[in-house]
Amino acid sequence: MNRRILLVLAAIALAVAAPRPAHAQGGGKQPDPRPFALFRDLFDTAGDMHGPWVTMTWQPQLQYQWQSDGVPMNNFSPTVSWQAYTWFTPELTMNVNLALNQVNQGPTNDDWAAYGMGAQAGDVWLQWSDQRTGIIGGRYTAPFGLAPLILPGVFDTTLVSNYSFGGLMGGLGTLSTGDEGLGIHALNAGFFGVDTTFMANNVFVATPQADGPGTGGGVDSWVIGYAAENVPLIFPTLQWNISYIQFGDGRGAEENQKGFNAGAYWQYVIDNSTESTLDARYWSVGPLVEYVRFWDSGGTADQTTEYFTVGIITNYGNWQADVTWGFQNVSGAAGVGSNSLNPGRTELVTANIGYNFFGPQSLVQLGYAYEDTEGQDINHQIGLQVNFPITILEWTPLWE
Amino acid sequence: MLTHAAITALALLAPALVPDGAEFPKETRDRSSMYGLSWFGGDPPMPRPAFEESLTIRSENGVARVEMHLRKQEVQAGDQKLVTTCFNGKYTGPIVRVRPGDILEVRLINDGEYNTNLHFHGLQVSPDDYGDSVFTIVPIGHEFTYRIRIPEYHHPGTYWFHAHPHATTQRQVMQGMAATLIVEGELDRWPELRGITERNCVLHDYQKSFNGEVAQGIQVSWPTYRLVNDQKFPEVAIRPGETQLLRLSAQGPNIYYYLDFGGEKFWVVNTDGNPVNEMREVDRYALPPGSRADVLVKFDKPGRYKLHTSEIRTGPAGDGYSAENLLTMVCEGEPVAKPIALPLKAEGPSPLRDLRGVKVDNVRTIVFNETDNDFRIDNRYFDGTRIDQLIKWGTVERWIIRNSTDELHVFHFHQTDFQVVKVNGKEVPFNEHRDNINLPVRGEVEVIIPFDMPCQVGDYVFHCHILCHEDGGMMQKVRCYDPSLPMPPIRPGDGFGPVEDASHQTVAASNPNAAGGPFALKDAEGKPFTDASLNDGLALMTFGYTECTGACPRTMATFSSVDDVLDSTPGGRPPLRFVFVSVDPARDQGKKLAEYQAAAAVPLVALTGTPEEVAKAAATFGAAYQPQPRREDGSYSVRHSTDIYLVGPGGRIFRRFALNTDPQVIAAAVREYAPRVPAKAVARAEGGDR
Repeated sequence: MNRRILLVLAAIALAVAAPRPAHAQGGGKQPDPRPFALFRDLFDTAGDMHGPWVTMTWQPQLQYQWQSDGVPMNNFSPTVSWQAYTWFTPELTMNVNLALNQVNQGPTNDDWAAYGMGAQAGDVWLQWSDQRTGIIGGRYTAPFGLAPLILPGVFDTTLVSNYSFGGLMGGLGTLSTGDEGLGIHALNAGFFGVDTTFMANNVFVATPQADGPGTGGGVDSWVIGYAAENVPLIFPTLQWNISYIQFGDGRGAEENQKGFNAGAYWQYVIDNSTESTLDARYWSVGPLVEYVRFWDSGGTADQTTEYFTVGIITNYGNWQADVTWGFQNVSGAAGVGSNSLNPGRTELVTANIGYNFFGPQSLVQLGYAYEDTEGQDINHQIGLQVNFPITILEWTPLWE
Repeated sequence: MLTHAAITALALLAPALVPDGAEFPKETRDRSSMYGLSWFGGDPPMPRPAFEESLTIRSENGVARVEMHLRKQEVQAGDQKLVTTCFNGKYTGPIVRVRPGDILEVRLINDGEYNTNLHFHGLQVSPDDYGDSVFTIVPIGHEFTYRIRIPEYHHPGTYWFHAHPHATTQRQVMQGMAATLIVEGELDRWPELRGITERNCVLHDYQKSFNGEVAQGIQVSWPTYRLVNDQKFPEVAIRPGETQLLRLSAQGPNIYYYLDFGGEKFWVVNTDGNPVNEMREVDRYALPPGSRADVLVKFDKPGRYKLHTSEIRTGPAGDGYSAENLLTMVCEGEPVAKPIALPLKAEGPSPLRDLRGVKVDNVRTIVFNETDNDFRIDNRYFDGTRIDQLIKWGTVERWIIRNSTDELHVFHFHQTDFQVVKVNGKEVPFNEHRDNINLPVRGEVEVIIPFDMPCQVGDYVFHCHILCHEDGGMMQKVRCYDPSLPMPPIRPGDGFGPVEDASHQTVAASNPNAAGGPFALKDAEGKPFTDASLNDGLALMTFGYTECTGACPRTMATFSSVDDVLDSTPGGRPPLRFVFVSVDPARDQGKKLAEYQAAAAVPLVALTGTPEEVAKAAATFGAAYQPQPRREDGSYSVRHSTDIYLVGPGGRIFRRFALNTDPQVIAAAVREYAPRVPAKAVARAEGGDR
C-alpha cells in the first residue's frame, strides 16, 4: 500500500484510539443510585441520544464577472459546494467537502458561461478533539495565512488565495487554551504531502497531474503555527496568525518551498448595543494586515515571492463593505514548473459591497478590482456574486 | 421537498394570493415585511379572536398540584393545526399561580417521544433532584413528581417552566413543552394597582416543517409563526384610561421580541420575576428568549393599539426575523372615572438589594465563543460530568461575560438572579435584577451575583438562552459548595455525587448503625406518640423541619411515590405509616405542624417534642441536625440528616435508605418486611384515610 495512505490511516487510528481525557475528579464507573439516567455529555445528556449527528449543507453560488483584460469579457461561473459534518461522538467528527465549480480556465478574450466545470473533493478528514487538543487525519487545508480566511468579497482573495494550501494529505495536531478572558491561543503542527491520489482528480474534466512543491508522493512537508483570537490586548477582537510551512520534494520542483506568514485582524466596534443590533444598525470596522514570504517559491531555486495585504472591512446592519490593497512581488530566478511564477510585481486594489438578506439567508455582493502587473498589464474587473447556504439535513437520531 | 428557491417564490407571490377585499393592515404592509414577504410575517386576513388565557391552576392550602401529561398529538395553534409533542393537549401550557411559601408539585407524565425533564426558569429554589435540577431525566414511559417549596422570601413575578434536557432543549421548547408560573403579589408595593386586570401573554414562536410537524430546530428560511396564548392576533378589551398589567413571557426557544405599541408609552414593573426598584417608562422593549417583562398599559383615547414586534437582526453572523403584530388592545367604552396616574411611586423599601456597593469576593471572566454553528463557552462544549466554575457559598462575585462572536447571545443563570452593573463598560443604573441578559455582539456585560441563598448550594448551569446555542454546547456547569461541608465527589457518567452530600440542608447521620428503639414525642395535636404507637405495623420515618426547602420536599415526594407504588401490590397494599419528626421544635408546633401534615400528599404523622425529647429521638435513630445562624430577618435553616427509616414495632429500624433511593426499592422493602410484623392493619387514620 502507498506509504502516504498508510501514514494517513495510522493518524486516523491514533485519533480514534486516543484516550478520553480524565474528568476533573473521580475514578471508575460506579452504579448510578438514582432512578433515572443523568447527563453524560453533549450527545448523551438525556440518556437517549447516541449519534451520529449529521448536518449537511449545500451552498450554491452564482458569479457574473466582467473584465477589461484584452478585450472585454463577460463570464458566468456557478459553484455548488456541499458539506457533510458528522459527530460520531462529541470528540470524534468527520468532515466531507465536495464542490462542483469551474476547474479549467476559460478561453481568453472570449465570453463564457459555466466553462470547464468539474467536481472535486475539498477537505475530507476525521478529527478527534476535546477542544483543547485535537488531531486531524485526512485531506485538509494548512493553517497558514489569515487573509484567505478573513477577506470577504468577489475579488479580495485573488492574490491571497495563492497561499491558501488545500488538498494536503496527512495529519495535523492542535493544542489550544481556553478563553476565560485571555483569548484562545492555539499551536498547530502538521505533516502532509500534496494529494496526488484519486481525490486530487476532477470528475467531468481531465486535469493534469499536480506538480510543484510537495507532490513527490511522500509525507515530507510540514507546517507549524501559532494562532490567537479574542486577544484582550485590544478588546476583544484582535486575532493573529504566525505560521511557517515547508514543502517536501515535488515533481518539477528544484527546491523545497519554504514560507512564513504573519497576519493580524482587529474588529473595532462602533455601535454594538443590543437595540442597535436588533434594529440592523450594528456597526464595526476591522483593519487587516498580513505579510507572507516564500523562499524557493514554487520549487524554483532562488526565487522569492512576497505578499502584502492591507484592508479594512466594515459591517453595518445588513451591509458589509471592504477595501483592500495588496501586492505579489516575485524576485530572483524565472519560474519552473507548470504553476510557477515569473519575476514581477502585481498590485491589486479591490472594493466590495454586499447586502445580507437575512430572511432567505442570501448574500449579494458587488465587487470591483484593479489589477496592475508591472504597469504593463492592467485589468479592471467587475463582479456580482450571489450565494445562499442551505442546510438540507440535520439528522439527529434518538435511540432508546 | 420544496427547494429554497420555490419557498422564496411562493413567499413573493403570496401577497398576490390574498383575496380581494381582505383586510391587510397598512401598518403591516409598511413595517413588517423586509422583502414583501407578508406571508412570512404579516397579519393574514383572518378573524381576530377575543383574547383568551390558558387554564389557570391555583394553589390550594399552600400546595399547587399540576399534572403535565406529555404526548405527541395534533393541536390547534392559532390558525394552524400542528403535530407536536406538548403538555395536556395544548401548545401553550397552563398558568400556575402560587404564593411565596407554597409548595409546587408538578407530576410529569412522559408519554412523549423524548426523554425529558423540567427547569423552573427564574425560580430561586433548590437544584436538587426533586427540585429544579436539569440533571434529572424522566425517560419515555415514566413519570416523575417535582416538589418545590417556594421560599417565603421569593420575589413575586412571572416565571415559567420548560423542558431542559441538554441537546434537545430547543426542539422540546419549540414543540410547546412549557408552562407559565406566577408567584403572586408583585403589585403589592403599589396599592393603587390592586385589583387591576391582568393579562398573561405567552409569546410563542415556531416553525412548521412541510409534513405539518413543528420543526426540530431553527430554520431561519422557513416561515415563522408567532402566537399569543395559542391565538393569532387576539384582541384585548381595555377602557380609555384603564390600567392593565400585561405579563409578557417570551417562551419561544430562539427568537427575540422587540416590542412596542406604535409609539405609546408603557411601564415596566417587573423583569424576569423581580419587581423593579422604580417603574420604568418605555416605548420599546427588547425581550430576549426566555425573558419576562410585566408591564402596565394605559391608553387615554379610544382606538386600536397593536402590540408589535419589530423586524430584527441578531448580528452579522446571526439571524433575521420579520416584524409582526402580536395582539391588539381595543380601547373603547366608557372611560374610567379616575385613571391611575403612571408612573407610580412604590410604597415601602425596594425588595431588591443594590449590589453595586457590596464587597466582591471574586471576579471571573467568561467568554462565549462560536465558530460557524459550533457553540462554546471558554472554548469548550458543555459536558455535564465536568465542573466548570467552582463557587464558594456565602460569597459575592463579579462576572465579566464577553461575547466574542458576531451575533447576540443571552446569558441565563439557573437558581440565581444578578444585577447588571455595566454594559460595554458603561455603568447601568440600579433598577432591576434579572436571570437573563443580552450579551452585545463583540461586547461585554458585568454582573454582580450574590451566592448567599440556601437554594444556591448545589450543581446547576448557566448558558445561552438562545436554546439552539445551548443545545450546541454553549453551557457551563457550576458547583456552589458550602465550605462547612465536605466537597461532594464527581463521578464520571452521572454528573455529580450523592444528593445527600450535595444538599446544603444535610449533614451526615450521627450514627449510621443506630438500631432505633424507644422514643417519646407528640403529634400536631399535642398527643403523645411513642415507639409503642408503631407496634401494629411498619412506618417510613424521617427527620426534618417544615420550612425546609431542600431535602424534606424531596422526602415527601419519595413518600408519595412509595405510596403510589404500594397501591399496585399484588394481593393487597401492605399497611404503612409515614412519620415526619421535626428537628425544629422552636417553630414547628401545633398549627404549623398540622398544616404541614395536611399539605402532604400522603397520610402523614408529623411529630415533635421538647428540644430534649427531639434530641433523644434523633440520637435513638442516629439522626443529626444543626440549626444555622439566624439571618438578618430572623429566619434560619436547619441542616439535618436525610435518611429514611423503615421502622417496625418498638421503633426498631429494619432498613435505612438514602434520600434519593428509588421509591421502587423502598416499596420492595416494605413488601418484604410487611409479613414479619403483626398482621393487624395499620390504622391510617392518623393522616386520614384517602
